[in-house]
Amino acid sequence: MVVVTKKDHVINAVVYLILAIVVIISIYPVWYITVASFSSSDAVSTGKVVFWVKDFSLEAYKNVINTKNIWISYGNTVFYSVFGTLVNMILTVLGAYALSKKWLKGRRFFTIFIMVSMWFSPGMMASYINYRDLGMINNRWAILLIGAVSTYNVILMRSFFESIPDAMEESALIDGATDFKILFKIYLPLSKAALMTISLYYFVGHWNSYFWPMVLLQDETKIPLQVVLKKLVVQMNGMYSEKANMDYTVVSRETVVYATMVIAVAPMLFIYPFVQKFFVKGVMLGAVKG
Amino acid sequence: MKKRILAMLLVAVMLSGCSATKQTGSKENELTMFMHFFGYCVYDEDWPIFKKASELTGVKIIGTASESISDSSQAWNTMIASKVLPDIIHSTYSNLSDLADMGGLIPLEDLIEKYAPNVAKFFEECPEAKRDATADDGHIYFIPGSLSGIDRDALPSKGWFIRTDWLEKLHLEAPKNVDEMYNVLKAFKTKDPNGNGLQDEIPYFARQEGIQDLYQLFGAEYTWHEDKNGNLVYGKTEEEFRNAIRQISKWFKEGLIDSEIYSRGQQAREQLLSSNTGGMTHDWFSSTGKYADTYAKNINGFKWEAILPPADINGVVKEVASRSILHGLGWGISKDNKKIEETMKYFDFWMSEQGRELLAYGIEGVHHKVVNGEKVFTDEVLNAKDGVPTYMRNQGQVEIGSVGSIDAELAGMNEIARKGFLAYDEGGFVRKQFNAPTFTEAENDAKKDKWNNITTYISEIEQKCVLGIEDIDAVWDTYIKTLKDMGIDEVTEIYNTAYKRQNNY
Amino acid sequence: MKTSSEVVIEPLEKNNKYIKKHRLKTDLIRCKQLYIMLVPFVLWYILFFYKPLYGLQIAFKDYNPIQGISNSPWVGLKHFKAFFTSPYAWRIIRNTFTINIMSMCTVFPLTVIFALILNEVPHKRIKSFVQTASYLPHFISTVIVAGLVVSFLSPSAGIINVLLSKLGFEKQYFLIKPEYFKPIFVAMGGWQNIGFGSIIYTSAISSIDDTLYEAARIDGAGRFRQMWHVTLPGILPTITLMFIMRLGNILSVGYEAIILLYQPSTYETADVISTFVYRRGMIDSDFSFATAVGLFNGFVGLILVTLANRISRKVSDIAVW
Repeated sequence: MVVVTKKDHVINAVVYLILAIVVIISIYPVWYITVASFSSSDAVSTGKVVFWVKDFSLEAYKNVINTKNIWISYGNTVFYSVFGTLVNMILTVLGAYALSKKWLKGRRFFTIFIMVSMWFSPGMMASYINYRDLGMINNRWAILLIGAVSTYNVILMRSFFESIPDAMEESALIDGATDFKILFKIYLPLSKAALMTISLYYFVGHWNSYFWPMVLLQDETKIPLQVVLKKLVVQMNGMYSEKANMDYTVVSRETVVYATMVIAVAPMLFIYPFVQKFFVKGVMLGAVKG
Repeated sequence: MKKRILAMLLVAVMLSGCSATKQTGSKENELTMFMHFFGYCVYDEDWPIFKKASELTGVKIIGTASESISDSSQAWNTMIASKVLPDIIHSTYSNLSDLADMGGLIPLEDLIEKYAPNVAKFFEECPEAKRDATADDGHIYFIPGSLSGIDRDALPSKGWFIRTDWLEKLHLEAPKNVDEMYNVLKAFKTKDPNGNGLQDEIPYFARQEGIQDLYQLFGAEYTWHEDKNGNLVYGKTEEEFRNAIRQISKWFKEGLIDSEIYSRGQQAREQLLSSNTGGMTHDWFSSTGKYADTYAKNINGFKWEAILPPADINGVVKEVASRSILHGLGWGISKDNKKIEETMKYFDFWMSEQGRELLAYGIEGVHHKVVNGEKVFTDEVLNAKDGVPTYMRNQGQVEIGSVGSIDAELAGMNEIARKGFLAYDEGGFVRKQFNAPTFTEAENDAKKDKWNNITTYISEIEQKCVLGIEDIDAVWDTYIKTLKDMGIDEVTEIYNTAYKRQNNY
Repeated sequence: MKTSSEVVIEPLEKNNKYIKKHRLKTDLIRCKQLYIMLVPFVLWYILFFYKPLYGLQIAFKDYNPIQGISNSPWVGLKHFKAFFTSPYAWRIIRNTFTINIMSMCTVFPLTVIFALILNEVPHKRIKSFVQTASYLPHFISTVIVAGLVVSFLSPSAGIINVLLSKLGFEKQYFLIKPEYFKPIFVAMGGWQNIGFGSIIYTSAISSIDDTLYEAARIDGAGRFRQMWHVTLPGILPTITLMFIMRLGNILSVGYEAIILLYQPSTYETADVISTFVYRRGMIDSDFSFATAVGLFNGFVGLILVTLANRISRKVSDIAVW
C-alpha cells in the first residue's frame, strides 16, 4: 500500500515542471518546422513565422508530393527499416547471447574482434570496392546487409543478457535443454524491454541512413526517403556545389525541406508508444527457487 | 522499301530490348557517359537537347552517374572505383587532369586530327582552350567548352544593383565613386527609405561571397593577379588589401554592410528584397535582375536596377567580375572506351555549327523560333518560372565540349538585367577573369598543405578584422610574418612557375 | 551431463596435461551451439569489416584510384607528417577533444538524469508523451538542425535574441564569437540526443526487480533514496558500458554540423579534425590523408577505451572485455 505524502506532491510538482521545460525545448523546433512547412516561403525566410502558421500555403507539400519518386522512396524506407531490423536482430541476438556466456571459450578474443570495428574503418573507397566486389552495387538486399551488425548494439544486448541471473539457465540445463532452446524459451521472453530497445535503435538507424544507400543504389526506384531529402537540402543550400556563387535563383526553399522532414518524422510519433508497451518488468518469479 | 522498314523495326526492337544498364558494355550506337557536377547537375537521358543530338548523330548517350547522389565528388569517387570506366567522362578541369595523370583518359590530339575537324577548328579559334586542355606531358586529354561564346574576352557576369526607388525618394543620384557610395549607403541606413519608421534597412548585402565584391572599390585584389612586373602575387598580402579591410570594417561598424553577411546564406536576395530591407548588392545580372519583376507586385514602388560601377579610390571605373570564356568543365575519352572513333565524331558534332546552335538555342519550334531571320526564344521558355537559364539547363543546356552563345543568354534576361549587362559590356571596363594555372603533381604536393594552412589563416584574420574583433593595422605585421612562416613565398613561386609555363604555351 | 558450475579439479590433476587437453575439448564441445550462433555473426564482420580493412594501408601510400590500392606508391609517414606539422594540428586536436569532453560531462549525465526523472512520473500516459516529445529531435537531420540554430541565433530576428532583449539583455551575434561556439554545439547535440539516448536507460530501469524497491520501501526509504540506492546501482552497468564506449569516439566529431555553424572568426574553437580534413580534401579528394587521420583517431580511441576498461574492471567488475 503506497501512501502518497505531501512530500510526494512537491516532488511531483518539481518533476512536472522540469519535464514541461524539457518538452517545450524539445518540441519547439519541431513545432516550428511543422508550422513553417504550412507557411509561405517568403514568410519563413523573413522570419515572420514564430509560433503559428503565417500566410497559409500548401505549396511546400504540393512540391513534395510532386517530387519524383517521393512515395516510392517512402516505401523503400519502410522496407529497409523493417527487414533491415529483422536481419539486424537475428544476427545481434545470436552474437550477443553467445558472447554473454562467461564460459564461452575465446570470449575475450571475440569481444575484441568486434570492438576493433568501433575504432577503425576501412575507409570509403576500400569499403566501396569491397561492396562492388561482393555484387552489392544497386542491390536492394545490400542495404539490409551493410549495417547488419552494430557493435555498439551488440555490446548493449550482451549486457542485458548478462543481467539475467545464471540460475535461470540452471534449471533448464538440468532438464537437458540445448543452448538454442534456452535462448528462445527463456532468455528472449525475459528480455522484451532490451529487444525492443535495440530493435528501435536499429530501426531508427535505418530510417535515418542515407550515405551508403545514396552511393550504392543507382536505380531511383530503390532509394530511401533520406536520400531524396538530402537532395532537396543540397538544392536549397547550394552549399556543396563547387560554384556556389552562381547565376541562379534558389530552386527549393526551406519550406519544402521542412515539409519533407514532417513527412519523414511523422511515423516516429507512433513508434515509441508502441515500443514502450514492452518496457514491463521481466517476470522472474516461479522459475527459480528462492 | 518493306525490307528497309523491317530492318529498322528489328533494330528498334533490339535496341529497346536491352535494358538501360548503368554498367558499361554499351550496345550498338550507345555510349556511356559520366556527368555529375555542381552537386545537382546530372546527365538526364530525357534532356530534349541531347535527345535531338542523338537523333542527328545516331549515337545515344547513357548516363552512369546516379542522380540521387547529392555530392559530385562522391559520384566522381564511385565512378573511379568502378571496374570499367564509362566511355565518356565529363567533369571539372582538376578532376580530368587528375584522371589523366592516373592514366584514366587517352590522349586526343591524333583523334582530333583524324575525325574531328570542328574540334580542331575550335582549338585554333581559342588558344586558351588549347592551353587549358593540354597537360604537362603535352597531350590533350579533354575538350573544354564555353557557354557564353568564345569571341569575347571578358563578358559581364555580375554588376551593382540598387533600389533606385530609394534613391529617388532620398533625392540621391546613383553613386559615381566610393565617397558617393558611402553617402548613399549611409542615407539608406539613416533616412528610412522603406518608410516604416524603423531603422531596419540593410544598405549593402550579398550572398555567400560576403564582402568580396567590395575589394575592387578600394583598389585591392582578393585573389592572385599580375603585379606591374607581370609576376603573380596574392592580393590579400598587399597594402591595398590592408587599406581595403580598414575601410570595409569601418563601413561594417557603421551598419552599412549587412551585419549578418557571413551567415545570411544563399537566400540573401530573396530574404532581404522581399522584406523590403535590402538596398544594394553586387551579383549576377540574369538572376538578380529578375527580382525587379518578382517583388514589384508585393512592394509599392519597388524599383531595382543595375548601375554602372562607382569609380574606385584611384578614380578607375572597373568591374572585376567577368565570365571566363571557358566554363571550366570538359569531357574526355576513358581508357576503357572501345568506340573511340565514334566518340570523337560525337564530340565533333557538338563543335559543329549545328551542334553549337543546338546547345545555345535548343530545338527549333520547341525552344526557339526564327523571326525575321533572328532566333528568338519561345514564350514557354521566356516565361519559365525559375528563369530562362535554369529552364534551359533542365532541357540540357549544360557545360559540355561545345560553344554556346551569349546572345542566347541575353535573350533570356529580363529588361532590367539586359540593360545592365549591355551597359557594362559597352563600357569596356569589365576585366578579364584570372584563371588559376594547372599544377604538376609535384607542385601540387608541395603547395597543398601550405596553401590550406594559409587560406585558413587569412580567412580568420580577414573576418575578424571586418567584424571589428581585431584591428587590421594592429595585426598587420604579425599577419605578414605568419604568412611568411607558413610558406607564402614558396607557394607564390610555385604559382608563378605554373603560370609562366602555361602562358608560354 | 552438463552443469553450468565449474568442475572442481583436484590440485594434483591441475598440472596434468592430458586432463587439461581433455578439459579443453569438453569445453569446446559444450560451446558448440554457441559457436554455431556466432558463425553468421563473425562471418559478417569478416566480410564487411576485416576484408576491406586492407584499405587502411592507403594511409601510408599516395592512393591512386585508377591504379588501385596495391599499385599505389608507398610514401611512408608523409601524410601523418603533413597532419602533425600543420600549425593548426594542436588546435584542431584540442578542439575535437574538448568538445567531446564537454559533451561527456554535460550531455552524458543529463541523459541519465533525465531517465531517472522520467521514472518518477506516476502517470504512464504523461511519461510516454514526454518521452516521445523528447526523442523527436533526434529525427531532424543535422543539416536542418544547424540551419535552425543559425536562424534562432540570428542577431536581428532570431528567437533567442528576441527573448534575451525582452528579458533586458543585449542582443548577441553568437555565431561569430569563439567563446560561444562549443557551448552552442554541445547544446545542439544535447538537444538532439538526450531524449533518444535516455531510452536505453529507461529500458534498463524497467528491468530492475520490483522486489528491490519493496525492500527499500520497507526499510523506510523515500523516493529519492530509492532512486539512489536501487535505480542507480541497477543501471550502473549500462551507464559504465555506455561511458566506456563513448570514450572510443573521443577524437571524432562530425564535420557536417560544424561546417554549417562555424565561421573563420570562430575557427580557434570550432575548427576540429574533421573540418580541417574536409577543407583540405575539398580541393582534391585526398583519401590517403583522411585515412591517415582516421587511423590516428582510431588509435587514440583504442588506447583510451582499453585504459578505461581496465580501470572499470578493477574498480567495479563491469567491463567490456
